[in-house]
This record gives sequence, structure tokens and C-alpha cells, in this order.
Amino acid sequence: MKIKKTYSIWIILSVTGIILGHIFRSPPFFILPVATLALMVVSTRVMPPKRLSVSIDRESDERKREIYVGDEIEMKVKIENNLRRSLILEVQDILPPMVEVIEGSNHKVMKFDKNEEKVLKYTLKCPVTGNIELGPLRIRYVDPLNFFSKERNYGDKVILRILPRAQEMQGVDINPSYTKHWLGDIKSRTIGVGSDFFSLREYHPGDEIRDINWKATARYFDPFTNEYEGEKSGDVILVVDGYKKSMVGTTRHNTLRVSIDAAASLASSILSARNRLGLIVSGEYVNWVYPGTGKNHYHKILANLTQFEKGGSWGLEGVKNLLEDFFPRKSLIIFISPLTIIGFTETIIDLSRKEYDVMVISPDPIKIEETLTEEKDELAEMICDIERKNIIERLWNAGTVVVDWDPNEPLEPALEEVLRYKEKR
Amino acid sequence: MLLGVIAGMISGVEYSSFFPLIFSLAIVIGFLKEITQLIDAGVSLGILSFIFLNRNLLPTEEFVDGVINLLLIVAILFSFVSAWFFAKYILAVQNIEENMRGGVREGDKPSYEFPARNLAVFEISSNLLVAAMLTIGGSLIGIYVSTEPFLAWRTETIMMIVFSVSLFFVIYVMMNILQMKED
Repeated sequence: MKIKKTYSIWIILSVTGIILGHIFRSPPFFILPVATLALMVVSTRVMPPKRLSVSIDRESDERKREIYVGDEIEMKVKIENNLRRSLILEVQDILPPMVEVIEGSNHKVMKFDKNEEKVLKYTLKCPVTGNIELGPLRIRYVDPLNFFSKERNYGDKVILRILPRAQEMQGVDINPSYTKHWLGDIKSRTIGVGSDFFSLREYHPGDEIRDINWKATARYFDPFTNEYEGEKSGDVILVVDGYKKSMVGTTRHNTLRVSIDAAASLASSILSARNRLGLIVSGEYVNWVYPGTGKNHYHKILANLTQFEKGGSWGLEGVKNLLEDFFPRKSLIIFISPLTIIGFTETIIDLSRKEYDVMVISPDPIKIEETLTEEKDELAEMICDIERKNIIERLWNAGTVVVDWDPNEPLEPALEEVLRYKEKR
Repeated sequence: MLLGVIAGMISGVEYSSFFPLIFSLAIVIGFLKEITQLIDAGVSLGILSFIFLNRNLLPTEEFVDGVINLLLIVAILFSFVSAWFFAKYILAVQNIEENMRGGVREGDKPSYEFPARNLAVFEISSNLLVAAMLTIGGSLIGIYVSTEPFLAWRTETIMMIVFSVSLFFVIYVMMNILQMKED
């Protein structure tokens, strides 16, 4: 329990009253300590209870624990006053600063009658991905005379996972150059299992009846079977640069956030083309997911994109070793990095010289910086731009496909343009 | 401000009677600028200066005059106290509402619920009223029992000392009760 300043001031006033009363031998000064005593006696009526007996129940939507970035979620916290007296309580559900309360309030002063139950209801939205902690619920009793206060936290912290929302990229086909034997969407230009007609051949025993081309059979009086163009798939590995050193921007808008969004969009597009997708996020630790397919795998990828810790200062060497030792060879590796750490370029070039198909998607940190500040240092900006262009040029020369992406624009057109250029080359 | 003017008028026409006025001005400025320290200082010094100006007001030969004087002093004292409590209460409510995260209010339902607001205003008013009654009663007993027609000068001094000691004892006991750790 805390004694508030008002109470202390009263005590000082009453002591001053007694001293001055004695000095001046003046009765009116003694009214002050009498008034103080009276207020103290009266204030015992509104003193905080020895134990704040309140029960808390977080309910409904929150149990989902996962929402997509920008989605709204309604939070409900039931609070019950278990005491046999009315209370005025200041109730605050503690939220991290990036969370926006868009309806209702997470901080209310509420009156509770004896054994009354009330609901603190509010809707929140989080504009950035990641794991956010909600709670605990802070309950503060303040007596109306502002003499005492008592504060206590109730309930545990709850983790809410904000998943990145994937942009649709229907016009983009990210196909690995090396395909594997399992079925996918990549045309192999060879006969195999697929849906597109490739050629006709004579019927062989064991061919499926549904593959018989009845028109050709009728024309030549011999059974003919359709052959289809084989559709295969490959392995794609997304490598997201989560190093703190390479991050440019604010907590809400930075290269890492846009990289995560881009990774989510690419993951959706790659998995919908039935490729196997793996993920490496290099931050304080290296998070990795072995290549796989399907909806559950997509969810696993999204979860790993949100729950890593940014940090780390040991370069991309660890990622390179992980790729070489644990991930399938001849995969398409997509690096998503602002390329602000110069050492990364060498590692990327080194990988592209080996059995990997390497693509770099680089959100331009200068464009992010431009949106955040009005002051421009043109010379510094020019030097950064030249350095960046130089790195991109080196990567292109080493056989890496580089998408120089303005994060203020959608990724799809930039990617489409580069893929078209690559095909022409 | 009005309180300062009334306090000054009661205290007579002296230069020093402007002090309550000046200190009540400090309360107004503190309230408008949301500086609680200024309000605290204004109230404390306003009360002390007002009592200092009226230090010779009690007791009088006439019992009725003495009671009227006492009522005046207690009324002004509790007017200062009421101004103090309500100013701090309003600032606290404002502070809570400004602290609301997101800054969006839910239509006409502010974060400080109306039932809570009403109960708080009722509690402040009723507590102050009861405290003022107790003060009047206590002062009457204290002052008129200790005056010369009833008690000798020596007894009066002893009573004042006993009163002071008991006050300090009550403060000490209350502080101890309040700082007791919760189980």
C-alpha cells in the first residue's frame, strides 16, 4: 500500500499547526491538527482493503492466440470484486507500445459493487508482425480522498502471435532451375506426369484407360495413348537476414519488417506452385525449417518468421554451413536482405558459384529512410546508393539474380520485371 | 480565487490579507497548467496564511461570537481543502483519460466510468462534510474547555501537550497500519 502525497502534506500541515499554535499561543492554529485527525478518522472508511480480492478471467477470441497483421482482435477480461463492499478500481491491461487500441479501452476506472462482475472489453490491432505480450492486468485501488493507493498485477502474460499477411503474386513464377522427381507446377519439357498434352504414342498394356485418345484410335483403328508434359517441382530455400546490424528504419517500418512480409508472400507463391520450401532466419539464433509442402508447412514457415529474435553479429557463414550440411543441393536459395553488411556479398557469391541457384531480393534501405525523414543528406544518400549499386552489380556478374526492391511499392512488379530480364539473358 | 477574496475579506484590510488571494491564484494557475505541486503549495500556504491572519480570532468572551468565528475559520479551511481535493480529482481523471492507449474513445463512454465518477464525487463530498463536522465539534470542545473560565493556564498547556502527543501517536499508528505488508 502506498501513502500518497496528499496524506503527507496533511501531516506536515498539522505538525506546523501545532508548532505555530504553541509559538503564537493561538487557538485557530490548533484547528489544523483537529481537522487532520478528523480527516484521518473519516479516511479509514475509504482505506484500501487489506487484500484486494479480485478474480480475473480472460476469455473468447484471445484463445486463438494468432492473428494476421492488420487484423482486429477483441479482448475481453472479466473482473469480479469478491469483497463485500463497493470499490473504485483503476484497471489497466498492459499492452506493448506497438499495439493500437481501436475500440474501447484497455485502461478504465470502474466502479464495482460487492461481488459484482464487469468486463473490460476492447479491440486491438497490431501493425507489425511478431510475438506480442498482453498483460498482466494491473489493478489499482485509489481512495477518493487520494490518501492511499494499492496496486497489484493479476493474471499471467499472454502471448499473441501476429503473423505476416502474404500478398498475392499470381503473375510471378519462381521456379528452381533444378527440378526433383515429385509432382509440381514446373513444366519439364519431357514426358511425364502432368496435365498438358505433349504427344501421342501407341497403346501399351498397362496404360490407363482414361489416357487413351479415342479420336486417334478411331481414325487409325489402333489404340493410341496421350502423353503428357511432365510437371515437376524443386526445392526453394528462403534466407531472411534478421541481423540487427543490417536493419534500417524504425520499429514499425524497417527493412526487417518488409523482408518478413516479402518472405511470407514468396512462401505462399512458392508453396502454391507445389515446390518444397525451406526457411532460414538468421538473427540472434538461426531458425530453420527443412523444406516441405502443404498448408501446415506454410503455417510453420509463418510461425518461424515471427518468433525469431533479431540480433547476431557473426556473418552469414553459419547460414552457409547450414545450407551446405543440412539442406538439399541444387536448391534455389532466395536471400532477402537489404545488403547493408558488406561481408554478406562474398558469402552469396560463394554460394552462387557452388551447386545453388541464388536469387537476392533486396529491400532498398535508402527508400525506407526517405519515408521516415524529411531531412536529406544528398551526398551521403548518393554515396550509399553508389555502394549499393556496386554490390548489386557484383552479384549480377557472379550469376546471382538480384531484385532491387523499393519497399514502398509492391514486390510483384519488381520481381516480375527481373524474372523477365533473366529469361531474356 | 473567490475563496482567496473571501478569506482576505474575513481577515480584514491589511497588506498581509492579500496572501490568501495570492495563494488561491497559485491554485488556479496550478489547476489550469496541471501542476499538482503548485496546487499543493497554494493550498498549504493559503490555509496557513489565512489562519495566521486570524490567529487572534478565537476565543471571545461571547460564546456565540466565538462559535461564529470558529465556523468561519472551519468553513474557509474546508473550502480550501475541498478545492484541493476536487482539483486533484479532476486532474487525476483527466490524466487517466489522456493515458488511454490508442487515444480512441468509445463513443460517449469515457474510460472513467460514470458510476465510478459519481461514487468518487459522493465519497469526497460526504467525507469532507463529516470531517468538517468532526473538526467543528472537536475544536469547540478543545477550545472552550481549555479557556480560562473552565481551566487554569497550566492545565490548558498540559492538555495541549497531551493533544499534540496523541495526534502524533495516531499518525504513527496509522502509518504503521498502512505500511503493513500484504500477506
